[in-house]
Amino acid sequence: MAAFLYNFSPYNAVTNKAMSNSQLSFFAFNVYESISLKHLNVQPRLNYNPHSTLNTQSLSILAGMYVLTASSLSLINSGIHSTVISNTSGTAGSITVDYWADVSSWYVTQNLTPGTWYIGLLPIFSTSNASITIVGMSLGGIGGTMAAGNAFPLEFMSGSQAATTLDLPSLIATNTLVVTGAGATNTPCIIISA
Amino acid sequence: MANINFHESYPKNAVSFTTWGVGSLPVNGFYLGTTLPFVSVAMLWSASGTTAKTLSVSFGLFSMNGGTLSLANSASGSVAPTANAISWMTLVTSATMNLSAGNWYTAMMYSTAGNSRISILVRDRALAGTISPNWVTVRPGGQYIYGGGSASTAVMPGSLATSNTAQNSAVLIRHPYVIISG
Repeated sequence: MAAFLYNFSPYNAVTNKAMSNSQLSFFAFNVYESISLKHLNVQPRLNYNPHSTLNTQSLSILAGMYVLTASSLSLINSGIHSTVISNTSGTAGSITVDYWADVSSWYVTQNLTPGTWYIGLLPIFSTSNASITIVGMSLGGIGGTMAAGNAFPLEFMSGSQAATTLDLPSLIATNTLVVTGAGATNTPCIIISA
Repeated sequence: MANINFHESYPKNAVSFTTWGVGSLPVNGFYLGTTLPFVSVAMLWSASGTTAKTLSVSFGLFSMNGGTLSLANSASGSVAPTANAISWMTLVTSATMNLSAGNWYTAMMYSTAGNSRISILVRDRALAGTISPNWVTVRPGGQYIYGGGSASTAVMPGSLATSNTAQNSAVLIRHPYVIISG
């Protein structure tokens, strides 16, 4: 069994995929050898602008492991990462935190079998004055000239749910996800580890 | 499943030529989906000026046993450029072998003589400083992926305890660009 797998080396993660509070995004992930699903790591950059009287911000990242059958994603497992960012200065002002977020609490113990899995990531903040990006790769300047309505033409690889949510759906149709524009192809660096 | 013919550290995009502390040993893990013959290792270097200088490189291929990296194979080479150049260098492997599918780790150390106007193509993973001063948790959860070790001699160590490899230093976290080829 593999000890760890990643979709691409973290050394190639140089741009940020913006993710909104309570917005669910999906990313295809190829598993080449069975691996024990104990840790799923992403690199968030959390921007938090606390008021002087509001000193903490909590962030939860829900991760869902989905399989694609025809044009529907089915939830097989889910996990959660939680953290609290504190404003120790006690005064208002922007705080930026970069770190490795480790989704290590999973609903069921699972060995991922070889194949393409689809990972749903859902960040949830405790307040509204925060934003998150997750470090990965993007089309960059090339993507900037892509028409907003230009849809990815092949089998589903990535996309986001337009409406906000506070939970991972057990079943979702890929034709309900936003797959248009350069933003739909932005991909976070994901490391799965035993 | 058929062999693959090469493994590349990462795509050749937006990388830089640099050096790191002599004696430092950046370690980087990767996954092979199938077998790969370990016959040759290639890397890129850059030099400037006509002053005589030498770059000597030692490359190590490690497997993980518990919390210890064990040297499975190695390769080395040197160049002595006397003009501006960016060029490939092939490192001679100590023995040919077939890498099995699974997780492996590369490490690289180097030394220079003459002057220091010669460097190696790498991708930096600066966790502090110019990329971001804000890192708080500096390694992914779970298995060892990368880190910075050190070597007291110019010889690649036969084993390296991961507990002794730093993972929170901007200087030590480097990923040299190499191609392992059959």
